[in-house]
Amino acid sequence: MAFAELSDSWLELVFFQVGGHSFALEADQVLSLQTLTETTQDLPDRKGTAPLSLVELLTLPSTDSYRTSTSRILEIKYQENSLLVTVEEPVVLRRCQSDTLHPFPEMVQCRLRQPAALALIILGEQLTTLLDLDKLMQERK
Amino acid sequence: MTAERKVSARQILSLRQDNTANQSPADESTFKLVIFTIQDDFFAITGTHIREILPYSVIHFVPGCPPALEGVINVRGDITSVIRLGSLLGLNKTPVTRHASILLGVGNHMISGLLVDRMVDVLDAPQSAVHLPAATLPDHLQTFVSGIFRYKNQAVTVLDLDLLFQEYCRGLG
Repeated sequence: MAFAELSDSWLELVFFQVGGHSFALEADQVLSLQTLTETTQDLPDRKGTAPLSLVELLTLPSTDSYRTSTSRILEIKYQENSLLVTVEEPVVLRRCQSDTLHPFPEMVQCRLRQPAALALIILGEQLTTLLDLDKLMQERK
Repeated sequence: MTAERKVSARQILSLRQDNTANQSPADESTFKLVIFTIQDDFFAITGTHIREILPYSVIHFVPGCPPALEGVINVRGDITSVIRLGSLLGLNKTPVTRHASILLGVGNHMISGLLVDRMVDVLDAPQSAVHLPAATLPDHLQTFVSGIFRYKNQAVTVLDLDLLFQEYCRGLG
């Protein structure tokens, strides 16, 4: 596809909050959304598996909004399996035009200490960091 | 009333040539300086390194960035980083006021916004007005200062943006 053809394209993203900041994943990476009351025990193949905290995975400082907002669990496709991560409300599925996706400016790229950060999404006044889950998990190893 | 005199094109061209040749060579070359303050200190960057001066606008924080990087702004659809210039110069962080500006700086083949406390002036300065920095300049500033200039009885420190951006990429701030 030529770059010019991108103007008509879109991508589907799941937006959520982590540590008071807005993040997103591509929707095809997200398998399901659960509330914290639906414990991992309710999932047949997840008995006893504690969900991972994205605040910790992204090494973000926890904020007051993080402490007060409602947490949800995202089941995310990862390699051949899936994993569970806790995120904060609101969790929103949204279709975005491809021109809302921007690479990081050079000055950000050269010093960014967030390997999982893939790009920026600008929707009006809202800025969201698009995450690359594979990179995040590679870093964790 | 003066009588009009018919002249030839050759005469006009000849006169113009003489006029150009007689012009004083003392027309000293000047360069543009963008002057601003950070806290109470006056600084300047050459105009060739400043693409635009923007009013302060909402800066979006990007998680995982160094302290000197305030975040990013949307400049007519282009996402641009914003660096707090004072942090690169080792100055204490102060709250942003309504006087703050963002200079769109070009250095070391990169573009970034530079958050400054207050814009002061943009002027043409003669080359001779900029002096070498004093040896007493603090060590952390020595690298980035290309000269000292006097503006309304104030000492203005002229910064080298190429070097500042280069050092930022190496880990400054």
